[in-house]
Amino acid sequence: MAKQPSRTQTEIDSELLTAYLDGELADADCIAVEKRLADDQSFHAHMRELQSAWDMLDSLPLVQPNSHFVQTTVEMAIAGKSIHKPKKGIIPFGLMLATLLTAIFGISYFVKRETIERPERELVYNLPLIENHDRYTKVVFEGSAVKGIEFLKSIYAKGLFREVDDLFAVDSREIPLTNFDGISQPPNADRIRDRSDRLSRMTDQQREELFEKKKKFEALDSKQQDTLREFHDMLAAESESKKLVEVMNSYYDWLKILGMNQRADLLDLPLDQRLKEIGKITRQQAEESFGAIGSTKLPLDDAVLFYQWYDFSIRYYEPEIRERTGRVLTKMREGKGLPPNDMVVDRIKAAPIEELVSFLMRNDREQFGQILCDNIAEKNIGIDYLREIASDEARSIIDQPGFTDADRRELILKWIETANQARFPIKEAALHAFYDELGDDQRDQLDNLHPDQWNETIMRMYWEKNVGQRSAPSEVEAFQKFLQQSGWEIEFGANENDQ
Amino acid sequence: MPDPLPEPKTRYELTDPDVRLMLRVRDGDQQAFRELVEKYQGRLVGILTHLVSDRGTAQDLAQDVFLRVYRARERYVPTAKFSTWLFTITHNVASNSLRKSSRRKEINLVSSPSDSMPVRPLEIMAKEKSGLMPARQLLKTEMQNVMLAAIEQLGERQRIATMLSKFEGMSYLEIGETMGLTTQAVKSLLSRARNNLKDILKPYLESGGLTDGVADGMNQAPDNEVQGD
Repeated sequence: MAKQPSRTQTEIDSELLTAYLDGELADADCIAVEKRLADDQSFHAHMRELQSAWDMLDSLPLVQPNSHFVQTTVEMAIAGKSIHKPKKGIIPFGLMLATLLTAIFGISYFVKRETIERPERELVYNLPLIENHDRYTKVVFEGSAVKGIEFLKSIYAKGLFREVDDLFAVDSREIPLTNFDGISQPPNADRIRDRSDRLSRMTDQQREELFEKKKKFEALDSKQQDTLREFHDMLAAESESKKLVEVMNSYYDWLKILGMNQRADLLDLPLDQRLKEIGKITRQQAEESFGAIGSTKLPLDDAVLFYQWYDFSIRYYEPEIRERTGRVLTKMREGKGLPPNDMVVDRIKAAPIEELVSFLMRNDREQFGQILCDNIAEKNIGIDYLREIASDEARSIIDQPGFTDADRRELILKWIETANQARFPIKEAALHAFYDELGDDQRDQLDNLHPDQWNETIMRMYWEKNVGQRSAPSEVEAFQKFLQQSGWEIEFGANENDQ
Repeated sequence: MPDPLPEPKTRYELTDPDVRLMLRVRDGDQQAFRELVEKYQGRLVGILTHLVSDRGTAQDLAQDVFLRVYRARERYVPTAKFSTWLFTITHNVASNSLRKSSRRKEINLVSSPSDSMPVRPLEIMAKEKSGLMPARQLLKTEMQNVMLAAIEQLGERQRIATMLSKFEGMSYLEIGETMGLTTQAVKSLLSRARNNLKDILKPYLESGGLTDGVADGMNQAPDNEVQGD
């Protein structure tokens, strides 16, 4: 028979005292413990320590779920969702079973329909409409769905907003391009499942945004809702619906970069005039962005310096960048008619800094450029400093004839964009666009590679072409070089406190 | 022929209003389910956060618990208090999650302050310089961090038993039912948990908690490192 390990007196005492403190002792045992507590100081001290440690648990922070926890949980439960992905091997069986049941009874849709009740059913049924109604309102004219489709076709025919670029997470261009189907008829069982799946996969932030959209959609009168529903169906029925949706999304995001007055004025215009005005504004924007900018290619050594200057600046100005992101986001939400939501803003402000940089580059470019390039800090680490540490060749690019301060800031921002794209995972769309630009020889070379090497090689080529380097320098290598060449060591180094 | 006599109510049905709510859920009352979620969401997320040390994960797990409850509604038979049943599921879900995360050995280095509670070893916390912070601010945040780190150092079972006892006020019998242990095993488990906490928190207990003096001492990197069990 296995022998019980012997316990020390301290362990026995601990157990006795714990049970006493937890009120789990019988009366007689309680009396015995209390008598000993009165007589035995060390026993009493032991009890106090156990109790104090236990009491300190009260200082654990109080954690509450987010405000939509109940709503999303109930909806997920009723929609029959699991938050876990199905395991491999179970899927085929599940699918087979579902197919079999459908084939036998042919009523799965009705069963599903009956088991999802309002308002959850409305959420699942109207999901595409709820998600997209705001962008629909920006293209539907004079209460006419037909005019909305005409407008989209016109801007597509003019070649406007065709380019789909990368998106920041808060950007609203998350419309699913697949399974974009009509909404007037109730969805079939597969669609219900797909939509429920999507709901269950949403992050807290996405759920929060969805519910805000839902509230906004429900605030529309029934006629407006019907028009948008009709527009959705017409869009879904278009043979080129995917392209039109992309154009609509680009247009919708483009509207957000306009000033509030400019946007309001534009949306008030009738179709023909609106198209003309869009053409005019986009031409101006193109000229402003590219017209005045000359060479942007950095010499190799300067790219290393720039890389580190940028890194340092971002770290240095991180509080300002996060703060600015919050302000811009709040303003954008106001512009979209959304109520203030500190939780959403705080979550986004806490995102990785490179995402915030991308966000500000897209939505608050001028101000962001000023933060980085102007000498707003006590130390001179702005564009003047960059100019001092750069080579003559780089300086000649920064100070090319006719350049204004704004041009210089824009140039720096373009370098930052390139550095960002090269350093952080490049989006697939950007890589494909880059691939399309390559010559036949380069494409052949790439296509003969093993698939594993394809991505690595094209990213190296991308980086090389855009910043002039073979790859991102190692942190140590780049920083040492940076310190040597920049004199940074003297200004910010070990003697910092003595300055 | 007279109607058959109704099923006698179980004692849990008579004494526990949440059991009655769950029976309504079983009968298809979605509002009753909503009430249960509303009632238990905070407690579940709170406990799970301290078990898995991450608020986002805790919310997902809490949601998973409620979904399991809902899926099991048709088979529900009240053989215990509703909270005991709920926390049994919670225990299972949390244990699975902790096992998976320990297999992955994931360390989340970058975390959103609003979403997670990064737990740092007490040794590091006791040594690090926080002299720039005002003493009062230090007291509150440091106390929370100390306790999070202390809880993190308990074993999984001790942590769960501690949470159920401390924050759910469960008896040993109920904890035993929840965790599948005998009352004696729970007694022993909680005794070890309390004892471990006492040892882990010894540097703070000796001064009667995180007083200004202790906080100052922490700023000066004390010689005696905090030792876990």
